[in-house]
Amino acid sequence: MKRQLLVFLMVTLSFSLAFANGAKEEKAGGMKTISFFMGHPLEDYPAEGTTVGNYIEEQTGVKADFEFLVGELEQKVGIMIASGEYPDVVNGRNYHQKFIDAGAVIPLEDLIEEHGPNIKKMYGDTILKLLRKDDGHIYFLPAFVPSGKISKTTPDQGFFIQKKVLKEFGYPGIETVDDYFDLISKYAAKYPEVNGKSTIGFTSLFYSWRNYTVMNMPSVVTGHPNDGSGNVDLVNGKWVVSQYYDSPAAKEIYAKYNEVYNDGLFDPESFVADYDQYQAKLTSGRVLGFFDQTWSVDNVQQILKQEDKDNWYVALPAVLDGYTEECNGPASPQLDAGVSITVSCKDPVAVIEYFDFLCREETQKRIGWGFEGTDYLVDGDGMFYRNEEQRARFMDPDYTKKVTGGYYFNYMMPGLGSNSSFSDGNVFDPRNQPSEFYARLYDSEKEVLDAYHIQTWNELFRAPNNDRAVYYPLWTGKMNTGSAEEIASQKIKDVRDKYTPLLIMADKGSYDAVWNEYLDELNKIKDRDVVNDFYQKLVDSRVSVLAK
Amino acid sequence: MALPFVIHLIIFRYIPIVGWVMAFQDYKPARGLFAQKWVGFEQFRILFSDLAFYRILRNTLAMAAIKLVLGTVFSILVAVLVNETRSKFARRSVQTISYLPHFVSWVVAANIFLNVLSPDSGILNNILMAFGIIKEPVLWLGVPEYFWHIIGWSHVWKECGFGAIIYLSAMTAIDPQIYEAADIDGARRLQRIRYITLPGIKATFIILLIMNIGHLLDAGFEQQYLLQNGLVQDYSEVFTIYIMKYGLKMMRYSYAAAAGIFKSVVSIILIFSANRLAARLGEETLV
Repeated sequence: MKRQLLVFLMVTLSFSLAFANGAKEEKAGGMKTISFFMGHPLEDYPAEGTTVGNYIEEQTGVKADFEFLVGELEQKVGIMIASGEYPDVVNGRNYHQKFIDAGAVIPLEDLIEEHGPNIKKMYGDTILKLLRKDDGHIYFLPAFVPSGKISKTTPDQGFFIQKKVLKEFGYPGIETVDDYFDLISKYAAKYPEVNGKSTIGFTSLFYSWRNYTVMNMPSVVTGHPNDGSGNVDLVNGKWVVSQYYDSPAAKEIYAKYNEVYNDGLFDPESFVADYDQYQAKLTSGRVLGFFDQTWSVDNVQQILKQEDKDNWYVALPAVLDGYTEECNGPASPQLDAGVSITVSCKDPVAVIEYFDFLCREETQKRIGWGFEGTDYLVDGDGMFYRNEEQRARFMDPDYTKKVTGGYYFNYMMPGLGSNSSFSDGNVFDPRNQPSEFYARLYDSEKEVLDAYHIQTWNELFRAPNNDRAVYYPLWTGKMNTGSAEEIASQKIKDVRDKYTPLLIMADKGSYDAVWNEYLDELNKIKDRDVVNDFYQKLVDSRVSVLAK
Repeated sequence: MALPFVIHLIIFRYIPIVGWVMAFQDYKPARGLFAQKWVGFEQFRILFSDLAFYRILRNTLAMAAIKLVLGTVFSILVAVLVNETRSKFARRSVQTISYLPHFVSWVVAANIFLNVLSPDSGILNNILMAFGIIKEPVLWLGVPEYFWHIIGWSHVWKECGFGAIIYLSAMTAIDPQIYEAADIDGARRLQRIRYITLPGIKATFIILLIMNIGHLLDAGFEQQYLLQNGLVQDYSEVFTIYIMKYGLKMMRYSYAAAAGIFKSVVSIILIFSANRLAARLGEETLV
């Protein structure tokens, strides 16, 4: 009996060990393979290859073996760390800090110094300095590197309003939150129904982390860019961080929301709906307005524009009285996540050389545009453009995934931001090349642009304050997992999650009482100042790095 | 024959208990289990001094109890009704329809409930308004007091059919001669259920009850996690969500382990008390 047990155990153990170590470091036809874990739910890389992907493979002799996220990222990262088994390269996106905290990734600065001339060129000294953690090491190389002239066509965020509302009232200018809601209430009063269903004046999203659409409002409406974790203001020549969740502006904007709610214009389902329901509601055409970040509603906008019923949305700047709008932040590198080489990687030099190849300008051009002749043409001034046939091919959002494959080498790999330009002045992402941007617009969009006498959506907004580039954005600062500031900010978040809807739903006249209750609850949290201290220190250290 | 299962049990249920030592450390990953800093009962002190802990304990116990009572009552009800049905076709279809939801994942089920309870076009609000029971649509998922109801009844919808299977099988084990004898003695249908069917499944019921009492601190996870929102968090946060939010998500493995130990110890006490009580009442016992 005992022997049986022993044999069984040994067999099980040896099997599990064999599987745990298997299948790595394979060489396919003399090619090296680098395994990647990318913390983003993408479809698998096309098995038959892609034009850009094949080019990179041929040039580097390296085959990229991608594993994309299935399920929840946080869990996946946790499991990888607990098991201690990693692919060669990981990009844990917003949970990347965990890999660093767990000691799963190796320092890159020496490798870059020795094997990465193009990496150094693309990132530049400043960004490489910013990427150094407190211990002086660089652990990851981020995507979306700002470079050259920044060509921005769409704003980061804004108060979205349906085109038909603007059209109805002759494309009025909007400056304050009051203007915005006045327009919505006027339209809703005139057209109480859309397709036989009641008109929804304004909706929001309280779901999970996407609740920034409500939680960031006190910052946005006082004319701050998307710092997320606090307001940063220049006080006596110093960038000073403050928390806005209990500020007078917070009281004012949620009071405004409360008024809108009591007028029946604020969608009550916002408080419980998830992201799918939110998107479905927006595409139904019943919602007149909402606040969000542009990327979050890309799909919705695409569908509505194709439908061509003037139900799509225009993002507008709006602030509380007495503040100056600054919805757009300066172009900034991603400082919270990127690709890291793990401790399991056998040949870090090969990986860094691979990254270095990606960072070459010729490679970046192919990733962004494809191949000259087939995918784009060059005019007399050296500017890239596409002809009708090429444009039609690239209008299909899947084209850069399935055929050129550029998407796979841009989104999570070291590379340029979509607004960045090459040294010859062409923009990395064709959609942001001014000529291409205009050529791709729907007629219905051109109508709005013409009415406001502008060429791009971004011109409705003020230019970013580039002085902020010394620290921006605050939200990329990641707290150490399990630290006092992380616990305190989770507690603050819990209180806000509960009270923000209560404030908005407060009965007429009882708003102040709910507000005071909210402050009381916040005051129960022990040393919540550690959160602000953390961000102040972060800003100070970024400023000091860049000042050198 | 039982050997593989015993080994499975040892590997997956007993060996991991070694991890309990984490609760007395300040555990950091990528370091050996015994190369850690020992902190004694510090993690437990933090746990018990967190005000949220008691609210979460209340929610967990309340929701688990609601689910246990409603789940058991409705499972038995379904089992009795199916057992009394003569038509084989009706029996089969009722059984299948009622246990199918068990196989639907909570992610899908939660979305169904989000839609059913929606104030905008949810069927529940539509029905209640059509009958004039309510005038305005109700934001069901936004009222803290309704949350336990929603958890309880959605549990009934999802699990009562599956729970009924075990009771049904216990009923088929009852000797048909007893029913025949009762018929001859002139027992009516309700009397047959009262005096034969229900006593016949009593042993099964007690064993299941004892086992379920051991799970009183597992009020579920996905169900609350997916149906909750900021408005109802005072009633929706359960132990597992708390451990995830303040333990695992923050890589405070030691804290999570301490909470886990607390949970296990309470569960063991509950199981043995239930068992003792059953023994004292002269019923079937588990241990």
